[in-house]
Amino acid sequence: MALPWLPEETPPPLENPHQTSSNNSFWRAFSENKLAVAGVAVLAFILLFCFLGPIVYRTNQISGNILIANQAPGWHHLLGVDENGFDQLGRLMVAGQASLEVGIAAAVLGTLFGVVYGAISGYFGGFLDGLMMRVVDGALSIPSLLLLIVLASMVTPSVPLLIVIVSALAWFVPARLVRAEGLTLRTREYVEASRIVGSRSPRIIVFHIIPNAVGTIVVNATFQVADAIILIAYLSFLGFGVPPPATNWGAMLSGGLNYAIAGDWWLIYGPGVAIILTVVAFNFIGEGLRDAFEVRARSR
Amino acid sequence: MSIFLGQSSATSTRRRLSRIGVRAAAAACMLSVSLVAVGSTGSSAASSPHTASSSVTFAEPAGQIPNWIFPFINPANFTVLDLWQWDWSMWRPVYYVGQGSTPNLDYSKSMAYAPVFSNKDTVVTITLKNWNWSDGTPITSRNMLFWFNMLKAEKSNWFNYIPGTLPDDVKSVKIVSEKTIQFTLTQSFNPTYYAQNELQSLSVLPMAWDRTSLSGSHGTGSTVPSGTGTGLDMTTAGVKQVYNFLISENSKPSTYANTWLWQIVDGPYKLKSYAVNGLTTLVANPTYGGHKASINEITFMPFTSASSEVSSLLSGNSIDVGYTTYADLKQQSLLSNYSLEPWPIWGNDVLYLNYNNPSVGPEFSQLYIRQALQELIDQKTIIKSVYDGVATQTMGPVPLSPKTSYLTPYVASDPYQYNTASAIALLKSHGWNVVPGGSSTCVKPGTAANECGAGITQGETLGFTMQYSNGELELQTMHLVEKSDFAKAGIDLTLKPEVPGTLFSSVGGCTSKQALCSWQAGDFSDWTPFPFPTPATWCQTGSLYNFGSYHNPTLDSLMVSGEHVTGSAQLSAPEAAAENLATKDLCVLSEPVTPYQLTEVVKGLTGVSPQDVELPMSPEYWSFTK
Repeated sequence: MALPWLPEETPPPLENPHQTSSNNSFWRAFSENKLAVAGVAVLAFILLFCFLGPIVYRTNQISGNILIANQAPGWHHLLGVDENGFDQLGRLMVAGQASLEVGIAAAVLGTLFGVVYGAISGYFGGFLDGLMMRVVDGALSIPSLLLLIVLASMVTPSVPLLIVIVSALAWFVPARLVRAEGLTLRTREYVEASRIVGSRSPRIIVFHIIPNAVGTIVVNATFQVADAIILIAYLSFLGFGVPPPATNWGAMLSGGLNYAIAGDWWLIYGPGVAIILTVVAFNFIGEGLRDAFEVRARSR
Repeated sequence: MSIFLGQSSATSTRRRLSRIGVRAAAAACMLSVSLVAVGSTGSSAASSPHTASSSVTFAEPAGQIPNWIFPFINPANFTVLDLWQWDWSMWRPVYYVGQGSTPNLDYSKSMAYAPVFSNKDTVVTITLKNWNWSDGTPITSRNMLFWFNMLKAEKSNWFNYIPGTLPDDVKSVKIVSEKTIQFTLTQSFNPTYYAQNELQSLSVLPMAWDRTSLSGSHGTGSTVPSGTGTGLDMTTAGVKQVYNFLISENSKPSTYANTWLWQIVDGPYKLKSYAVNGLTTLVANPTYGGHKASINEITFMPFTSASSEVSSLLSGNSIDVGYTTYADLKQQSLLSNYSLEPWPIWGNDVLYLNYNNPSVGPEFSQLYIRQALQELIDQKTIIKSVYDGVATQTMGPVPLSPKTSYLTPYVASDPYQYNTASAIALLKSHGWNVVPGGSSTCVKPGTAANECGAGITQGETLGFTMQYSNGELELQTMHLVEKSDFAKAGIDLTLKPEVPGTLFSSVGGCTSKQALCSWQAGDFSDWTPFPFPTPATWCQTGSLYNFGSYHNPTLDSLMVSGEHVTGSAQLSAPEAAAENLATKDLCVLSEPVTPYQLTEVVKGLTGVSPQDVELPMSPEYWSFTK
């Protein structure tokens, strides 16, 4: 309960005399992680490939030419032609857009929800914490892929729906991580101080608990993106992808596999390599961020 | 795969490299599956397990197992495997459906002689041949009456029931003798039509099944001319009890091979063993009245996917009659011990248009738009490039292949061939600004001959959404080709693949104000019409399968009068006129129809082809050459 003569306002930011050196040490630590730097480079390349590539390498990805379906790589089609008559290199680019967009959006959405959920659970503790975490435990005990396949067999997938479905399964881990942080942070002096001056719980959660767990959240978010990309690839691989002519790497892999046994190898190598590179890049970046956050924490 | 997802939470406390490893391995997993597939290209089929043998292994369709043994299948459980392959091997209807590569009834292979029509084609007399049940009792007219009584009581539980047809159009039934039965119809029918489309369903049931428990007594086969006989089936309430008992036994797959009930058969084979995973063996029935089987045993083998079945063929495992996929046709040379014998169907692939859809219904109601759409479907290219030449062009309600006397010269002339220029000209001549690769718009609204037509507004764009089953790769490719071709006339086709259950529940007859009417166009893939094809299935007002709610009073009138023309003409004048009108008016659009399956037959096994275009499988004609 706020005292009536004290204005309810945000406490001043905690003074950090080492802010600049802390940031420097963060980036230094990140850049010293060779794998993380390589991950950034690979991801930058993939982003350029997917989003700028179609401007440079123009192909028709709406109307295929069925007369040249499954054509092997050559000068006219550097990575060959797929089973629907689409240029495979151009297809990789637009498929990558869908994979990255859905993967990132689902990860962001799932992380946001998980962060709020975990922060509430950790901050309040007690019965509410126990109840909320049992919900997470229960949800985690269901094999996610099985759940996704059942869902996908009941509804027709679309991009927004895929994002919602994948994000609905992506929030458990961030929720647990942030909850653990919340349990610790709620006993800190600045949280106690904020409570004494009358700050309400939502305010404390938003301005004190979540900001101080940002390292954990960011690191986990990168892993969530990787997870989401693979999950979408799995779903598409199983035939529950976005409607054609839209596609993603998993759908390309799935379509290509039907012809791979007949020797059309170019239909599977491209999307397979793209998925692996992207997932590994995100994981390297996540590991680098984790190191960097740890270094910054020590330098404070 | 669930390991990967399950570990997402657990890995939060794991060592970092293991996290990377888990995800990288998961990502690599899919690629490695693909690489393994590529690596297997070099293998070839080993030699056949059979050179001369009395047993055959038949590959069941991917993901299906026979799980309905009672030869009175309900609509929800009907599958080609259950009815036309497994049950058909053990129980035969009165008339043999399919005559080699034509859809006609084959009286020489049937358990009854050709039906005799009399009294201005209002009375049908059927005489059974001297065939026996496997328990030695003769097959009599009383057995047919038992089946008919059950049909009358449980018609809604019979897969082939269409309101107004059998048994609704039968006024009375009379047993004339032990082998002869007489049906009096409610009105005159074209004999060919009635035999092909209604009498083809007639069947018989053994009197030993006329019971309500395995140990109780059963009805008798009394065949006194008065038509009476003892048995529960003689009353509606009684036959319903019998039906419920047989259905309850049918719902116990684990007992199929153990109970005496299902051992009483009239077909060429009887059940030897059955496992709930779908692995089942049939053994030849020595008392079968038709062609005696040369193959003593047939094993039906289940497969979870087509690719696993193809892999089994490639590895030379014990499949004698299997199938390949379109994607695998390129490696047919590796199946050196098999011959590819596609199983054609008597069927069409129709694209339904929803005439009552509030948005695109007015467009579909214009014949010139339907004509333009049909002229933009490049069936020849689709057949050649999507189906590797193993598919058939269709046009109108009568299948173009195999050639039959049902086909009129007009329909056979393929009146709407692929012609982009003609389609564009049609649209332009009716007030559309055609933008190839873009969106065509109506610039002359109105109902005059050179205007867009009723209900189409100024600036309205031309395009629609098509729903179809998401299970078939080639079907999707075909629709992508159509999307490309429609775009050449500025028609925007949006593809909406759906799981089959959703498709069947969302595409159906409706009125414009119903929420169900939001679907615009739907493709259910292949349809098999009755042996005597009429446009009624898709185009008749009120027909169960007229999903698009097409309405044409002239066509309705022609179809009704055609069914009741007396005489023995194959195709009466009204029926021919109806066929031509339905084709010209394009109540549905036509797409290429594919074979039922791309059958692979082990070399040395003969008699599998010609495979019946109505889809029954008759292994009693199979044999191994020495």
